[in-house]
Amino acid sequence: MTLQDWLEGLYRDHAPALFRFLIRLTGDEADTKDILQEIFRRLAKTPRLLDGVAAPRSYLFRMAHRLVIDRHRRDQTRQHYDRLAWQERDPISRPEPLADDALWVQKVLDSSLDTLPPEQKEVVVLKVWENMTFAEIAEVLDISANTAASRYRYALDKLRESLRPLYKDLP
Amino acid sequence: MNDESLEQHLRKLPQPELPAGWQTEIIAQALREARESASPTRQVWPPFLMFLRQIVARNPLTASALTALWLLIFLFKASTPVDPSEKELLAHFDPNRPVYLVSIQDEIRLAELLQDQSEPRRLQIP
Repeated sequence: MTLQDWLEGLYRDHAPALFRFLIRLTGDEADTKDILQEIFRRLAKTPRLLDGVAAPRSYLFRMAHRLVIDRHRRDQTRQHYDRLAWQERDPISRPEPLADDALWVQKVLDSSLDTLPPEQKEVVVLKVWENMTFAEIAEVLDISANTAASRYRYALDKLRESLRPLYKDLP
Repeated sequence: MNDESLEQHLRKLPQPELPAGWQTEIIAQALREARESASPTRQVWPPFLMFLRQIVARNPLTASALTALWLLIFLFKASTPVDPSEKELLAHFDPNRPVYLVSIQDEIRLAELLQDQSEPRRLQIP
């Protein structure tokens, strides 16, 4: 198997999940692409990185997580202004009328997810969409399983709170 | 709303799709950079030279110590008396040997004296 075949296999298997994780965390397609590029650049340069790794997906998520942190530290000021911009266009304060209640819940949840702190958001993404256990999440994020569980709990509480004005009326 | 229903709503959220055109671009770029980094031109210093550079140039304590050592060596060399006839560091190699600082004229006189002493004395007939 050539290096190119190996990289293409990895890309097919893991890039969609990494993309979902990164786009939720960065909120920016260009940043997501840069980080994805960096991950594959490192893999192409040092293919032995994955030698003896039992769960390549967890390893790749951990790499992505660290790259996001590095980028966040570098662009802290910009991120701060981005977050302010997000708060300004928070749709909860200016709701648009939607016919379907479920769609409205989805819209509010989607926006609320973006306003979560990054450390809670990444736990939610890994737990809900990647179906990881708290132990796996802990390994990816370099935290304890208890911390992962409590971050998830806080995130759900915040999301529930964002839906509070709505779910009284829901069936 | 309990946790299960909240999770169900979250799972139903539309997921962003990985753009189809990225694969070729990302993998081609990664392969290109891997090829460049594998070129015979050395990109980074080997670890031993890194360590040496750290000791000699980057660490202020060791760099100052080395500068002071070289200064001491220079001062020692500059202040050591030298026998001009033998051109060697007498004080360093033989501290018991007397050292004389002589002028050229004195040196010539000393050389003549030594030559006279080494030659057998001739009987001088008055």
